[in-house]
Amino acid sequence: MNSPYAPQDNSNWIIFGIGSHHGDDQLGWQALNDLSKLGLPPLPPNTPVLPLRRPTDLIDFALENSSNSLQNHATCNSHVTSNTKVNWILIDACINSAPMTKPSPIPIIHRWLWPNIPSTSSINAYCSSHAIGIFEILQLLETLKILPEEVWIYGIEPAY
Amino acid sequence: MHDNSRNIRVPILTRVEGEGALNIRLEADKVHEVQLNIYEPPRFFEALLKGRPADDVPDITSRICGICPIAYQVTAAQALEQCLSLQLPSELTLLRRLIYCAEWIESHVLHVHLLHAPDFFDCHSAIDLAKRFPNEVQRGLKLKQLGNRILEVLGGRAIHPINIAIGGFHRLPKIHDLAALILPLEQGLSLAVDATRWLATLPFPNQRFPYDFVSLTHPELYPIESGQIAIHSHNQHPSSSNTNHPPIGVDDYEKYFEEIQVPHSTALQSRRIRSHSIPSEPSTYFVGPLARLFHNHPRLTPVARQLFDELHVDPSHYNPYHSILARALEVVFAFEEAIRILKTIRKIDLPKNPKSPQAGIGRSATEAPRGLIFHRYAIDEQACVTFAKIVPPTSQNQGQIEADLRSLLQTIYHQEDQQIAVACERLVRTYDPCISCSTHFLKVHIERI
Repeated sequence: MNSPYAPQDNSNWIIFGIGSHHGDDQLGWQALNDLSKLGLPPLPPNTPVLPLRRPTDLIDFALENSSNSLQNHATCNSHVTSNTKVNWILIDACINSAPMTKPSPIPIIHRWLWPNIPSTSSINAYCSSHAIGIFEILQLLETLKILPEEVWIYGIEPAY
Repeated sequence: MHDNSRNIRVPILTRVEGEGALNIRLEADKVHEVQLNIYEPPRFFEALLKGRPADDVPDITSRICGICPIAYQVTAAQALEQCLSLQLPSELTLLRRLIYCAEWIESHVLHVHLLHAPDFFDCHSAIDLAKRFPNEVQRGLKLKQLGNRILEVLGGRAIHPINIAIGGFHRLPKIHDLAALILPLEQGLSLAVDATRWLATLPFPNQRFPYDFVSLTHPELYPIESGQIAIHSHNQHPSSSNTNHPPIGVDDYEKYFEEIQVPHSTALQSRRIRSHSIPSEPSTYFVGPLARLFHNHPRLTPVARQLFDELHVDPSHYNPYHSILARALEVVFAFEEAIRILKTIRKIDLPKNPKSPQAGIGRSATEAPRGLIFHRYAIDEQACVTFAKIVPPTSQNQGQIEADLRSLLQTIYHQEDQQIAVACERLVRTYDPCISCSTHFLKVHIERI
């Protein structure tokens, strides 16, 4: 693995696309579809991809797959084998909320390593409830110590 | 402007569903004006439904709210089933009650742990609360996950489930998928009991407001999807006793309650019709978990009832801050009821009863997580909608929220504006208001004049 588009280590990875299969917020799911078709050369061929409907879905996933989640309690279906070494790649639409920023005529793909997200950019939490978007969910999971060691965020900023 | 006048404004109310504000005008020690300013644009769902086939209604109305779509789907389906003279077999009715239990769990747990509990510890967010109480917050998230799991099995997906249809369901869940839910829900019940005991230790503010509690009531069950409407009138005169009116039928709802337009809100507000109430009574009323518990606590499930007694929960204290405990008890109830239903259902023959188009009028009221919800529809011979009326819980509570704020302000007007704003926001949050529903809310603005 030696690509500018992916983290550079030998950990296991799961890729989440956040969005919908229809409507205005298809971007995260469409990116997963395209990655599946194109292959994921920087990552092993069996790297799981998982479409999510909203950022809060990450909570359920973290509860199921972190060794730090409450033990001996109810469990639901798990999408991947429990493995604390599984790191995350998140793909979602984003907007640049910096004041006086000119709209970009071409789409821009941002890449951030949590928690280093510039404050002028916000992951677009499109339809998330209670203003709980990716940033808030990752903060919550980090506080609860059920966030993987490494989380990369790919924010796709559409052209205007 | 008088020297002692103040305007206090909370421009965006936080940790509530939707967008609203609070405007307060104080004149010395007098509360001049309190407005729950709902400025989300009206969404015109009722007009949108006109001319649509009745079959479309449950899915369209479910889009009114991302937190309580099941309430809209079940209420709409039941009203339209009345239009079509359709009766459901008992197992389909039980499945409807089961998926509604899931929504109560999911919605209540989200509000209790992520939105409301932070207020009791002066935390600004769920993240701040998680730093102090990581295990408690994680337990809440686990409970929410279990509610989602039921929704996925019965509704096809946890967010905006799509399986409820007029006459039953579009597709039946597999019996073994239902059975597989029992063990995790039994473990969840234990977590819910622990969560309720933790919440019972919260430092509850000592407030008492006169409420007219309105909720469904049922002779045998804690009400969710069926029952009559119970009205409790709190008499403000200490010499007079409070009144529990005989329950009214759902078909008579509009004889007792009406919607009015107020200039500062894009959401209609619901009031009791005065000709049906004692003239001296306020026309505002309270719907939600405290009202349900007031009218129905003897019919809680065994573990929930035992906790109700053990923790000395008493809705007749009229303390809105106890709503968080009422919600926690209802989560325990919902787990028990879901398990009971899952153990009852052995076989389901058909996903839905076949129907023939006919003209008709139908009404339904159910208990959404935030309180009573009422729908009325009329359909023509082709089963297309000619009239629709939807009254969500937050529309019914808006007037009561403003009345509560006036009462609270009488006791805290001397405080700093920022303290007042925080106290008012916290009181509003006890209602778990859903502004998106009501516009089918929060910012505080205080003006001292």
